[in-house]
This record gives sequence, C-alpha cells and structure tokens, in this order.
Amino acid sequence: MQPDLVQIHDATVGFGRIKAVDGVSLVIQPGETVGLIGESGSGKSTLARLIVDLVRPSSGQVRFDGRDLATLDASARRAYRRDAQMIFQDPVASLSPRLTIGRLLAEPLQIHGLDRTQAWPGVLELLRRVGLPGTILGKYPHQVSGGQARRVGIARALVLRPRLVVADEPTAGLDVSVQGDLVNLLTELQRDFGLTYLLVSHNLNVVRAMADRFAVMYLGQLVEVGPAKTIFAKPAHPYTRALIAATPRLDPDRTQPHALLAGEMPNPNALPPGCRFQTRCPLADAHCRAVEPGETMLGDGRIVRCHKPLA
Amino acid sequence: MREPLVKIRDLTVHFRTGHGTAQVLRNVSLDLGRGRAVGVVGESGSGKSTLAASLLRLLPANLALIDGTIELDGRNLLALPISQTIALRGTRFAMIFQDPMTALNPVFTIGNQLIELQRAKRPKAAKAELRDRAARMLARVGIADPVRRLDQYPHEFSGGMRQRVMIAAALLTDAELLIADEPTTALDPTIEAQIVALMRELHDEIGGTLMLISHSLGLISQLCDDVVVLYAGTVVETGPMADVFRNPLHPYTRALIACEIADDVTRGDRLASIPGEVPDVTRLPPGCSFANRCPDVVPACREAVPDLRSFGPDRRAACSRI
Repeated sequence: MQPDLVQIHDATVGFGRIKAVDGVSLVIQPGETVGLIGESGSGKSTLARLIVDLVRPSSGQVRFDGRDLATLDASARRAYRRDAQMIFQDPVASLSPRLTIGRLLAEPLQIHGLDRTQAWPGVLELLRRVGLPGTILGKYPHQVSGGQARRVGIARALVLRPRLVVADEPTAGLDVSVQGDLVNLLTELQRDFGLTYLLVSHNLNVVRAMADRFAVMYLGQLVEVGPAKTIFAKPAHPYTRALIAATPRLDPDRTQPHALLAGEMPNPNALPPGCRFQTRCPLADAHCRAVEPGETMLGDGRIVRCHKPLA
Repeated sequence: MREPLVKIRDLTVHFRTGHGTAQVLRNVSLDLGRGRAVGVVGESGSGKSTLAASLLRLLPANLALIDGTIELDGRNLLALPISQTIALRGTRFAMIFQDPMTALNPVFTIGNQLIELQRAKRPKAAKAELRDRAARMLARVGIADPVRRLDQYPHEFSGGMRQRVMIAAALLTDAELLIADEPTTALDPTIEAQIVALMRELHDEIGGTLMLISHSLGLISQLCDDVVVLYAGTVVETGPMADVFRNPLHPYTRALIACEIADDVTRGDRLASIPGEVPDVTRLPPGCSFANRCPDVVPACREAVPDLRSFGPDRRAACSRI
C-alpha cells in the first residue's frame, strides 16, 4: 500500500472562542478522491484551507508526504504551494478582473520563478485539455461564460502540475446542463495527471459521482468517514442519513420521504452539551444529551462519532 | 373549468443593453390556475426571473418594450397605470425572494415589519391585533417562542429562520398569488428539505396560487402541480408536473431531465450534459432557439420559430419534430 499523501492528525483551528475545526483526523491517499460534505458553518472550508496551508492549525498537525507543514522552511513551503492547489468556488471573483486570461495563466509560473517560454507550450496544451479555445487568452474573466470561467480556474490550478487539488464547491451556481461536463472533466484530469482530490461540496449528488470516500462534517467535527458506496447504501450516522434523504431529486411520484430533521444547526458559540447533533437528532436520548461521543470504528472500517450508529 | 387567476398571453419583454436589444421574453403564454402550484423551470438567462418581475412590475430602468397581456380577473394589468399595478404588491401578489436578508429591512424588528405589511388590508386594525396575527403566523411556520422573536432584528435569525419569516410575511398579506423565486437556493440541504416540507404543508392547508421559479427539477417535482419549461425567453413545454416529467415531449425538457444525477451514480460514471450554450438573447438565431443544441435538429428547425402546439389536454410543446 502506498503511504498516505495527506495526514491530518487531531487538528484544531480556532477563531476566537469558536473552533471551526475541532480535533479532526483524516488521511488522503494518493490518487483518491475524498468528498468532504457538510453544511454552511460546519467547518469544511476551513478544513480545506488548512490542507492548502491558507490557515494554520492552533493544535495538531497536517502532514504532506510525511512532512509536517509546520516544520517547512520558506523554500519547502513554496514547493508545497506548487504541490497543493485550490480551485475556488467563484472563479470570476477569485481571478483578477484586470488581467487577461493569458496573463492569469502565466502568473503562477512567474510567482514560482519558472521559465515562461519553456512552460508555455504546456499551458496551451492544458487549455486545450480543459476544452477552452486559444482565443480565450486575450479575454478578461468577465467576458467568458460561467462554465468557461470554471475551466479557466481549473487550468490555472493545474499550470504548476500539482499533486493534490482541493476543489471548493466546483459546480455550485452552474446550470445543470453544464454541471455534468465539468464533473466529467475533473474525473478525466484526475486520471490523466494522476491527481489526488479533496472535493468540498454540499451537493451530495456531485460528490457521489466523484468520490471514493466520504467525510461528513458537522459543527467542526467529522461525524462519519468511510467508502462512498457503503455510506450511501447504509449511512451510520443519523446526520448522514438525513443529509442523503434531503438531497433533492426529480420525484414526480413524490416517493421521497419528508424532511427527517427538525431545527437548525446550533450556534457554534453555544454548543449543546453531549453530542453536537443531539438538538436535531431523532434518536437522541439522555445519554446523547450528556456525554459527547468519541470516534468509533465500525466492523467495515468506517469511523463514526455517534453513540447509536445505524449500521 | 374555472377561470385561471392569472392569464398571460404573448408576453414579450425587451431590455436595452450595451450590445443591443435583449429579447428576454418572447410571446410567453401561460395560465396560473386558481389554487395551483405552478413551477417555472429554466436555466440562467431563460427569463424566469423577468417573468416574475413582469407580474409585479419590478422591471429595471433599461426596459425597452413590454407587450402582450397579463390578465387578473379579466383586467389587463399591462394596460393599467403603473400606480395601480404597484398597489397589487403585498395585497393580491406577494413575493418570496431567494435571499431573505436583502428583502428584510435590517434596522426594524421582525415584529415591526410583519405588522406594517398587514396595514394595506387592515388599515384600522389595532396594533395589538396585528401583532397577535404575526406571532401566530410565526408559530405556524415553525418558529419557536414567536412573541419574543417579534422583538428581534433580522440578523438575529439564521438563514433558514429568515426564510420562514419571509414565508410568514407573504402569508400575512393574504395575497392570492404567492411568487417564490428560488426560495431555497441559499439554504443547506437539510434546511431546504424542512422549508420544502413547510411550503407543501401550507399550500395544501391554505390553498392560494403559487408560482415557484427554480432551476431545480427536484424542487419543482416536490412542490408543483403544473410546470412551465422556459428556454431563452420562450415557453418550450407546459403541462401537469407528473405528465411532463414522466413523459417529456420537448427535446430540451428531455435533455434537462437526463442531466439530473441518478441515485445509482457512483465514482467515475460519466454524467450527461447539454452540449453548446444558451444563445445570446441580443443575437437570437432565426428559427428554434434550441436548434444549436438539439439532438433532433433538422434544417427546417432553423427557419421558423415553432408554435406552442397542443398535445392532449393541458399539454403543450413548441417543437415541430414531435
């Protein structure tokens, strides 16, 4: 078995009194896609940023290729920033409006001191590979369609030939008629470039089409981690089950069950005692309201944070 | 059959833009039947939000043309002075927006806003009575401790709770037509499911006519009785929801349904998409606007815009190849 590419060990990120990420451990193996699912405020974007070194843990470690990111010197850190790239949710907002797409694609090369003339044929090949015409190089981000802007964001992330790509809601806001194309493209690029993906999304359908493993986050903690197929067929955590049931699907016969949950995610400033999900959990009892569950491993290797797992 | 609440015929709306005239709606005809929940589905640029804005006369300043008829009780709203159509807002029409934070006023309490909006119909009612109605409506939409919540400001509510407040606000107007524009898009999935369940329950219980605008076929299938499919500013298909989704007639409707990610999709499966892009509404090609993406296209499709033809009771589609 290959060594893990990313190892997050008991990492916590605090913003003031709030722990956006609270004691999270997760490994990512080379070549796999981990789908990180959770709702707004669950801490999934902070966890993604932790992995690409945009925020630092207040405790715990993040290791890439076995090396603790906290111990890297300046040049090793720069090298890491080539290896780990992020695709942002809103490409038009994340790309400078004053630079042409050609300049935007050349910028990462410049920052990392690579020879532009040598690297440029590779950039053009990449452009073709993500399905963009060469004529787009002279345009500005606002002059292209939403789908094309996503492709520019993808090409820009791949210019430095990273090993790990963190994609934050790569299809959010796209029309369904182009969403499938983008998911297919990401899958092909993974195969062709040997990429490892962390896919952050609240769209379970998109994650299902891409991920080998799921990591489900709730209020700063991972509540279930395991193979995507197993989790989809038999979710163990009541929150995962509710999330899967809530995924909107075309249902002309109205067979989909009604909402399984009541209430909303508690304020992270005032966490409930016991299990963090107890305020919405249909199965919670006195024990759940008093004692916080730890991580347990189920027989199939899944990790669940629940006193009463369903599977 | 009962007369529909709203009859829209040949509604055409053009905007002036930097690149010429945008034909945002072209000859849109549809009925909003009394008590029906009508879903308007379309992708970005289909004109679905302009359709809602035309009913409410919330059209932008670059409006170049509005033509056709929007009939309410046999009166053509487009022929009335604007002041009279504005008077319909909050009395006969109410709107639930995508982002409740921009629709609620941040400097007034929820109670204040929920009381004032009732004044149009109850100018002489005592404040205590309107406050009591507001509290009962908040409780009805699932907000705990409603009397205390009335004294709070919008920022003290979570996103899901604000959307519940918007629904309560719309219902407090006793409007006959409720227009909801992507009411759950900004919400997380488990909260979205809760709001959908609430809207379904309220529609069954209170009745009234609902026009739900969304890009989500899933949402429309869960809430609506009828569906209208818009593409590049025209109606391409309409009919009862279950019929349209089980047996779509127009190639665009079929392609949209195929893009839904099925329950049994697993990693690496290729997903469907619709090749090409929506035409630029400032430079529409002659003929069918879906022709450049249509798998069934023949040369005749590029010559004349197909009529919305009838296919059995309540079913219509605009394609010459059916």
